[in-house]
Amino acid sequence: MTMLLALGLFIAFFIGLLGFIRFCEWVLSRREVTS
Amino acid sequence: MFSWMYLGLFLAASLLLTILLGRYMAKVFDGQPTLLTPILAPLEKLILRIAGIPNTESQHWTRYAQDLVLFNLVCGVITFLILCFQHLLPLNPLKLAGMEPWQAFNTICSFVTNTNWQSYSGEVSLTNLSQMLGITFMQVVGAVSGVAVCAGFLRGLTNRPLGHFYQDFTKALLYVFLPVMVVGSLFFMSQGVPQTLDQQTVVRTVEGATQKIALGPVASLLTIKQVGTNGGGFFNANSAHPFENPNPLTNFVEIMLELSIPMGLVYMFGLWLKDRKQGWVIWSAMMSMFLVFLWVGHAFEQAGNPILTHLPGTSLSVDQHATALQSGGNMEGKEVRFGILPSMLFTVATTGTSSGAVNNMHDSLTPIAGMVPMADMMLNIIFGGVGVGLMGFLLYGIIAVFLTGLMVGRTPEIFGKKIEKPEIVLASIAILLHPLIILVPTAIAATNDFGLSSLNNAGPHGLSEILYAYTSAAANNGSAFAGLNANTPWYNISIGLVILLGRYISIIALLAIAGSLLAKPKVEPGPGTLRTNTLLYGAVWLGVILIVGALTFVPVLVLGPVAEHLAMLRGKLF
Repeated sequence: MTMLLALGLFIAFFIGLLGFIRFCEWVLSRREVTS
Repeated sequence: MFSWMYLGLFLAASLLLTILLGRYMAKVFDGQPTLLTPILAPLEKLILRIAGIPNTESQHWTRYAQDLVLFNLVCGVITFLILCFQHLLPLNPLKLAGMEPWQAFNTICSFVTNTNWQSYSGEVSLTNLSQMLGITFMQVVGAVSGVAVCAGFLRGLTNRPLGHFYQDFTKALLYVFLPVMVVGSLFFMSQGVPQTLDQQTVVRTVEGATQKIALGPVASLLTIKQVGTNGGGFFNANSAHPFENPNPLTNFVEIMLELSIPMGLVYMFGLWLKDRKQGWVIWSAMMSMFLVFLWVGHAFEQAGNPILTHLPGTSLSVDQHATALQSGGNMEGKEVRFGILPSMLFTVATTGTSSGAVNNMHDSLTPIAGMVPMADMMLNIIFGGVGVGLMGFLLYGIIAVFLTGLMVGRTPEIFGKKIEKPEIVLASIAILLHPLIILVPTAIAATNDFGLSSLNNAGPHGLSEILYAYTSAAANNGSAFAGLNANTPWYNISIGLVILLGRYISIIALLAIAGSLLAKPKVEPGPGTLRTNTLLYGAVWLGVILIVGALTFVPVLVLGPVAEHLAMLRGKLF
């Protein structure tokens, strides 16, 4: 059980990182037009 | 005299390695032929063909980052299974048990990120298979991933297509790491470092007792540990162990191996930018901070412990001056075969480069000298880990042009690209996260029994032990202050998470910035451009690093090492 928890936490973090990549993409897409 | 010759040799070797390795890596990652191309190119093509990776395709930054994340995830999961089930796998002559799951979690977080923090003793916890297939393999993956990502990031900054993660990974592995690992392993073996599959040898001591001496494939692990700025030792004593660092020559080579790739990448950046002066400005800024840290650490270690100068309540005193017969100063936790300056040089190099290997015990440093490695890791950009150190330094560069642009009323530009709000938002996230993931868990651990019960020392020294652990984790350094039992569920989980956050959030944010800058048109420098390749700007850059990066940590440093130093001056030790 502990082994599954530990492995699950590791995998969950990396899935979260894929979400963070999307977040960075979203930040870059909100570029304001500057002269 | 020996110490200063050692330092002079270090500076000369640094300059030489910077130029040679910088030129070589610039060619490798540009796809130009090198001396090793005739031998390695067929192997490279074969690997890419088997893996089904196109030879020329360049990726969007999101795909580059996804490949990094998924590749590291798969490597981490495989290593987790190896560690937990090592008792069922071959090459286990000592019948060692499988690793406890939270310790295995901590270990894979540590090794996949090139941190190599160890809450275990390698020689009594890991089988030879785990050391080779788990630890050494992950040391390679972590380090090569860092260089690959840095190549992609630098391409973005220098207006080239970002490249392909797996192509860069293969190039870094074959052309940069493999030759160094082969030559380095042979050199260390020639100096007496073991390279064997025997896990121990039994000897009879002078007193007639029987002693078991741990052995194993040390030389190969040692080389990647140093050149990859990994730091996780074969032995728990790391590079203080005579089998892992037998003499002053191996000590010197180990230091140079740690610094070679981070230094070379700075020169490579200048070459790619077609502005060598920019590369040298960054190199000089990093080296000047390196030398200041070395000077401070060496001065306090050579001065020794003031309490020993006049032992309280007695008329006795200890002579701590350096003479022809003694090194003087504080030799606690240091190897006599190295002495004070080579030990401090190793300390500053290992904490500046995110290596984390140690040849002396940082817990035994005098308080201010102990603050030096901590400050080194808090800044995390003095050459830094392979790849990520230069990326961190350039991150501060982006913030510096933004701040100076605001001050003089100019649109911030860096390397011919305009910096706008999204880049500043991402740079700020990466910079602010670093103190957050150090200070918050330190505060939690310092105020709860589950954190305090692991301490061996009370007062400010105890706080330093906790602070050092999280700083080392966030900086992906991996060195330990000792004195803290980190093998508890709280420390294994919290340090593991800090390590992961410290590695990937900034890397992904920086890749995003590189991708964003790449998509922008290049702006030719005009009379209104703030030039970043001048010594003046180098000083501004350092100022921003010190104000933004260092000031955040001043309060906790005052509560830890500074308070301990002041207490020591009044005769109190912790």
